[in-house]
Amino acid sequence: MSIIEIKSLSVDYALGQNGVLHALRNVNLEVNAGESIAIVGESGCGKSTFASSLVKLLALNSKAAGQVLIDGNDVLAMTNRELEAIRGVKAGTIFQDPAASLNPVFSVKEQIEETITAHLKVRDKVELKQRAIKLLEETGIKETQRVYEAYPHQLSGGQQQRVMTAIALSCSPKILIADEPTTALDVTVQAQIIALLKRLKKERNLTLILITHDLHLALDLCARIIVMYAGEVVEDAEIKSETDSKHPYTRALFEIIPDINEDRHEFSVIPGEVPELKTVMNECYFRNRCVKAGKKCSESHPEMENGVRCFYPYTKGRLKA
Amino acid sequence: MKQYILKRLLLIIPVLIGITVITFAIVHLTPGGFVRSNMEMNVKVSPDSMERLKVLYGLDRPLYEQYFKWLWRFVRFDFGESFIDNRPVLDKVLERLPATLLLNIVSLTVIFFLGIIIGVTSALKRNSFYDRFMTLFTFIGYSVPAFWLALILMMVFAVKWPILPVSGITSFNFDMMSAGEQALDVMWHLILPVFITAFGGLAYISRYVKSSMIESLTQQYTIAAYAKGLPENRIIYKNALKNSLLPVITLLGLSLPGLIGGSFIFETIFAWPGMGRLAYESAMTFDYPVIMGTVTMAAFLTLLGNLIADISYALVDPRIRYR
Ligand SMILES: Nc1ncnc2c1ncn2[C@@H]1O[C@H](COP(=O)(O)OP(=O)(O)OP(=O)(O)O)[C@@H](O)[C@H]1O
Ligand SMILES: [Mg+2]
Repeated sequence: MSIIEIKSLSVDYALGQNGVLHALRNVNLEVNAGESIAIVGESGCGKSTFASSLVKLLALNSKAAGQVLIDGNDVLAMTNRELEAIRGVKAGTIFQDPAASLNPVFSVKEQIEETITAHLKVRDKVELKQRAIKLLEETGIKETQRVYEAYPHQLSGGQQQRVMTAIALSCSPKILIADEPTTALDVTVQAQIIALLKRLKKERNLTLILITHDLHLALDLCARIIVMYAGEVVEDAEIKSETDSKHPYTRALFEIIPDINEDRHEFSVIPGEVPELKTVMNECYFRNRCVKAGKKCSESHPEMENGVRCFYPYTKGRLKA
Repeated sequence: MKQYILKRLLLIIPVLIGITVITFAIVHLTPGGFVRSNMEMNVKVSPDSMERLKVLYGLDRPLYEQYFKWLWRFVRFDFGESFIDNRPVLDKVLERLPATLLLNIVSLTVIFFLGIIIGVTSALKRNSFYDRFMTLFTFIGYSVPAFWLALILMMVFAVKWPILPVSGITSFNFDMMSAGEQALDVMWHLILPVFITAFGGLAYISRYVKSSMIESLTQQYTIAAYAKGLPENRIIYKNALKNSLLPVITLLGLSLPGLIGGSFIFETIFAWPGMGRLAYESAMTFDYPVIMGTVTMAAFLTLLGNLIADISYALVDPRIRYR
């Protein structure tokens, strides 16, 4: 059975007098246990909204419809009590900015141990410490004793993210949701955290849900790539390189990556802008920016077919159409 | 930390000297003066004997000389004697100190206790009817002049329906009560003054707590705490609350001078036998040594309060460690 099953999930944000914003539109997805997926797309396409709906951590002005089944139970229908038993236990989460995610006035010790106490009801000080130290070691922290007693501001960014990971994994969840886990870190530290995630994924047989705008990172960590555009999934496939992808948007994302092998170091962007998320239109949302846009694209909205939402997809294995 | 405390304690000295210089100057430059205001109305006192009085009290000397004389005695903890009843100033101040401290500590406790509760609950139910009502209620307390409210409440609860004492800290038969009755009697006398000070001070604290609570509830670490699956009560009342109470400690230190200063008028209205009333009485009679004694004591308490606030801040906020 799939560990996560998402059925026609939509999330709207109320904008007061400015109407509603459709951040997620009819997302359908199935993830098997131990499988890892990466959610990629430009800023604002709904990646974080997707990550938060997995454990119903949505903003107060949001409205979610559809189903998010974790181990067959619908998270969106759960009460706060029931959610507490899911969060941290079935799915742990790490965030973009570890410095802001750790509470500044509590020590690392307190922040790890409160999670263990809350879920596993462990209260024995010695056992708590053993567990905490073990987690810190597992996440590759060198001076475990010092870090254990430290406050967040006394740690480096890399250490903070490792501590966050230790907390997220403290109750052995099978799912790890990582929302841009390396974006706030500098390059060398990024590489270390990526290596850590890779190792943990293997050792703990985790189902990793990686949220990123960095296609490289996605390809590096996950076999299955979910590409989102304007709140929709536009491609869902096993992708290793550009030629594996079929959607013109995915190809465009590949084109803008600075390739080390090529002599092209300047950053480029996909021309045009992401459409307004406030309207529902009977057309392809990407068509204004699409190199392959044709007649059909402005006449009706494409549906997901064979893992791609496009009337004129590229053929797998070929660079040009 | 020890070094820091020592440094701060030493720093109190120059500040205190500065305050006494200014007070001394203001008090002595005020038109009137001890001899004239106390003797002039008395026809039997001749201008000649008034001059002799001035010499006797040293009031004929230049101001700076008088000040240094006062300072020289002060550094030996000698505040001199009252011009009015010749009792040592230190005795007069110290016997008034407990009443002031009692009133202020009880009021501050009530203000902070209620202020934190109102602030936190308003933050949790922001924009609700409760929140709006509390905002209105605390702002009324903030805007109404304390002396006016005091007089109204005294009229209603002590004169019209005499369920509370009009003024003072004890009943006239206090000496004949048992210890338990005495405690109750003092509490009974505290109700009105504490209510009025607390009502006035609530807005300040509760608004502050509310906004800092809203802030910590929307921080990323609070979202992360939810993601960890902690019980909501723990997230609100432990993780977020601790963050939002940090600035309140500073506020506590800052509100001390206001309360001690406010007591001057307030204690007079309630005939509260505290330092504020002593200062008021001595100001009315130009009793210079007592004025200086009360001001110095109030300044010292204020500075001490600030120091304690800073130290407790450092103790609870791991990000601040003074050197
Ligand atoms: N609480 C909210 N109220 C209103 N709009 C919101 C809210 N949260 C997100 N949005 C909007 O919803 C859309 C999707 O946001 P989301 O954070 O999911 O994007 P994202 O793909 O994670 O972007 P980024 O890469 O910048 O993190 C954006 O247009 C954003 O402005
Ligand atoms: Mg995001």
